[in-house]
Amino acid sequence: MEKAYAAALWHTVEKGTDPKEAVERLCTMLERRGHQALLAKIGRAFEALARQSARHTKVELVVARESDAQRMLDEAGKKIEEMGATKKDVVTRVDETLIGGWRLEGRGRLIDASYKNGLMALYERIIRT
Amino acid sequence: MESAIVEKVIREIENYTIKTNSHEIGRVTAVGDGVVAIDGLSKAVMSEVILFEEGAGDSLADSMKDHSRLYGLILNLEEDGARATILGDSSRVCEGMTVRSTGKILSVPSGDELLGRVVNALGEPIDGRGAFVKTTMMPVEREAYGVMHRKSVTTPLATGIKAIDAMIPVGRGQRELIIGDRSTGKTTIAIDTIINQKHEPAEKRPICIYVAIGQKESKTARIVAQLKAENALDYTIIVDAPASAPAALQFLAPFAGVAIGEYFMDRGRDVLIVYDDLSKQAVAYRELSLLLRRPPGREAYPGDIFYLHSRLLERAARLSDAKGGGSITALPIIETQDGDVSAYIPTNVISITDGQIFLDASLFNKGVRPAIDVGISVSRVGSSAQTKAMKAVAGSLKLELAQFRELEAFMQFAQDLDKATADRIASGQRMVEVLKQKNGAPIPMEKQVAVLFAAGQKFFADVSVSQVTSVEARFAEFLDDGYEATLLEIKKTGVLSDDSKKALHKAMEEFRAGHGELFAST
Repeated sequence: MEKAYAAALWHTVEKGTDPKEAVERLCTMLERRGHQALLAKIGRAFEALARQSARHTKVELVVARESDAQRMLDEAGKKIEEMGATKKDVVTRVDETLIGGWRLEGRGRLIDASYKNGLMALYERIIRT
Repeated sequence: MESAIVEKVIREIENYTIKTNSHEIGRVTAVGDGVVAIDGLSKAVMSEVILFEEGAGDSLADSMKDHSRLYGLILNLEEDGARATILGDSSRVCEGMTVRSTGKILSVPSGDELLGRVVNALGEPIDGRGAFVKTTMMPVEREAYGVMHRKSVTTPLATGIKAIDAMIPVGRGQRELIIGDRSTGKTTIAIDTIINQKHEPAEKRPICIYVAIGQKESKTARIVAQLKAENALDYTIIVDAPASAPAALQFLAPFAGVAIGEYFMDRGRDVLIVYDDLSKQAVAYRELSLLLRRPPGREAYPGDIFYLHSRLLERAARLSDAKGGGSITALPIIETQDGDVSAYIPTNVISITDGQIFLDASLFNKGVRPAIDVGISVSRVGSSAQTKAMKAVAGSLKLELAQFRELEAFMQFAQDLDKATADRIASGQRMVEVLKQKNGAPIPMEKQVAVLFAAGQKFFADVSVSQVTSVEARFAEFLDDGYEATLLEIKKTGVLSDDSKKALHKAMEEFRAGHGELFAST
């Protein structure tokens, strides 16, 4: 039940209703139906929906060094477009363990062009043979 | 040696091209009891293997230190995600972890390298004898061969157990259920059958696969040692999903076993596969299904429990000549509770298989071993695979034993019985003794024929009941000295010719003359 309320609230806000007003309307409706006890659960379900949505829309570019960020963003440009995003949508993060290259994650896809990934693949190939 | 390795590594590095990998990903939203809920993976398919991204944030050195990858298997596809089972240590998975789609259906390695090895349900070696080098990956889930690719079961698969080979014969490509209470000798029959295959010529010898599901590790270790001691491990593969393994691996083990077997069948080889036991697999599948929140049905088993066993056992087949003529013979084992064959899982598997060998606890406790209840044991297709020699000596055996069981109750009124009934009881008692057999001592077909022929000729009629087993064993040994040619002829032709009969009559007379003291019970 709480999931249905949370989804309805999400869609209402997405359609353009002011979030504060939407929550107030929801509270009134819950009171009328005698469902106030569900409010906390609805809050958690809404939070999960927000997290899920962020995962589906957010695109993150992970690079090994801060100074590499712009160059890697250009290098990954085509892949970003393939994901249906633009460079503006991309959030950059630094992870030194990548050694070099880049890793693009978001919208349900992971593209790994990092040196760490390449070296791991080479290592596995060598020990396998 | 070292320079060769260095050269090899240099070659690998020189030829290596860095690839940009693109994968569909999802995120673990909940984890517990070996099952994960995943958000994302919208293009995942059923039974697809997924990879848990454990090394994110770890340095290259740390990632190389622990390079064993953790995989999962998609088992539920849902509106906004998927549910999967973890094929390994579930404590390595945490909420928020990235999960990567591999686009591959679960496969296990198969090939000649696996012979004599012990592998887990994922086909990974667990016997400490090193990794496999050259194997072929076989899909764990595969559609069984259709009717046009099959042919009828006509070649016998000798179990080496007199009672089975004579009355409930098994053919190559058949599915014969071994069913009975705990500790009634189910595994013994299966292992004896594997051991008996050493009597087959190497080119016709089936590859044997023993799948241990939910068994104690000590029991599996004992079986491996027994097979090794009997020189049967060289043509056997052990797939082990012990009681301590996650339910997912116990559920997958039989499918992994049959996938390994299909490699050999597709290459024209005969395969014998033992599933020990499917009751435990059903319990593991029930556990998994409940954790996956599938609706429970009868005895809390999921609705597709019949399909689980039918799709597994349908993969046992005898292929047509066009497909190479290979076969998979399945010996599934089911454990009953208090002899109840009408329970849910036993009835399911009875209806799927081509017959059953029922082991009776009361017979076992009376010392009748193997404790086969001939009355309700049946082989639906095996008789057409029986050799002519065996047919000739075992034709009326089942009827005779059934009649004996009917009359057995009157044994306590022995003094009041008419002569015909008393004779029939005496004959039945001796026949039961003849069919007794020690475990781990399968008997080749030709010797079985000789012994049963002798029993049919009332050879043991003058032997006291308690002596029959030892006289029978001594007679079998006696045949080895001087009658090898007769035994060889029966083995080669599969027929009990008039000459062979004459020779066996002569052997009986000679044995009787030489062991007069044993034939004085009357």
